[in-house]
Amino acid sequence: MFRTLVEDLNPGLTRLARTYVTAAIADEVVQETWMSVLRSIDTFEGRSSLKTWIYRIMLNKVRSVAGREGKIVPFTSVGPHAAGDNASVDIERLVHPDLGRGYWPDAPPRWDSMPAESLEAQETADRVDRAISSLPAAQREVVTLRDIEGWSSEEVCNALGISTVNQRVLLHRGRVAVRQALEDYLS
Amino acid sequence: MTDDQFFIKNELRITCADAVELVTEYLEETLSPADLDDFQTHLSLCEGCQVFLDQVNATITLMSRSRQVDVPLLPGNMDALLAVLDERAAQKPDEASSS
Repeated sequence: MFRTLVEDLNPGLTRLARTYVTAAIADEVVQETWMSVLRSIDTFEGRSSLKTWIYRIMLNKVRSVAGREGKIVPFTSVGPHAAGDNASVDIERLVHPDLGRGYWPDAPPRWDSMPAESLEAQETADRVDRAISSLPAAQREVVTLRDIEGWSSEEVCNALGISTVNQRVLLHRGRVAVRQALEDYLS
Repeated sequence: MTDDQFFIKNELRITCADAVELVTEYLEETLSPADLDDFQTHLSLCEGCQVFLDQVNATITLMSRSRQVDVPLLPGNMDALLAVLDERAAQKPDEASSS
């Protein structure tokens, strides 16, 4: 039973930890997490699921390691579209010649008319990974759990201890930032 | 504002700047009925916002593929973990049978 639990959760824990620190350090953090899980299982009160409880243990560890190593991505280094700019699309882009501010002048280029190879290329996938890693930590956690691991919003709220509304805002900010990075790369 | 501009803006219900902020709520199905109606009406008339929504969906699909990246199925200290588990079972024989 323990082995099944480890097999279920270890890959996802590792992927999330690796967005904070190098792969080697992340793997160590996850090993320590499992040790803590075994040592403190008696304190698990069943108020959250076992999965979200284990993720919380890992996140506490990896956040403190990342803080020590100075690896937390500072909010200001997140690229041209993130820091202080909360719009999903740069407002300077949304200026229609007749309708004025707030409207697309013309539609952005469609990605589905591009050759399939460019969206499916390894380089595009690397770009996506890099865009996710450079998100502010709170957005990165939500995007990783929702869009990479496929968790429900309820599970994410429990694991991260955030409200439904906050979860949705972080998810939106993260997704549109990755979309922008892809658009910058593909155009 | 000319009559034409007024008419078009009225048809679109909300600005594109507002519509793009609603995309995740739309996908999460958490928009209120009134906001959903505004969003869908806007979308049906606005190619820019249709493309934006398609791109967000494509982004989500691309992100979900990151899952395939190779990570270890088991932690490197699995033997040590199993040893701790055995130790605990030996200490608490009554609980071991139920776990």
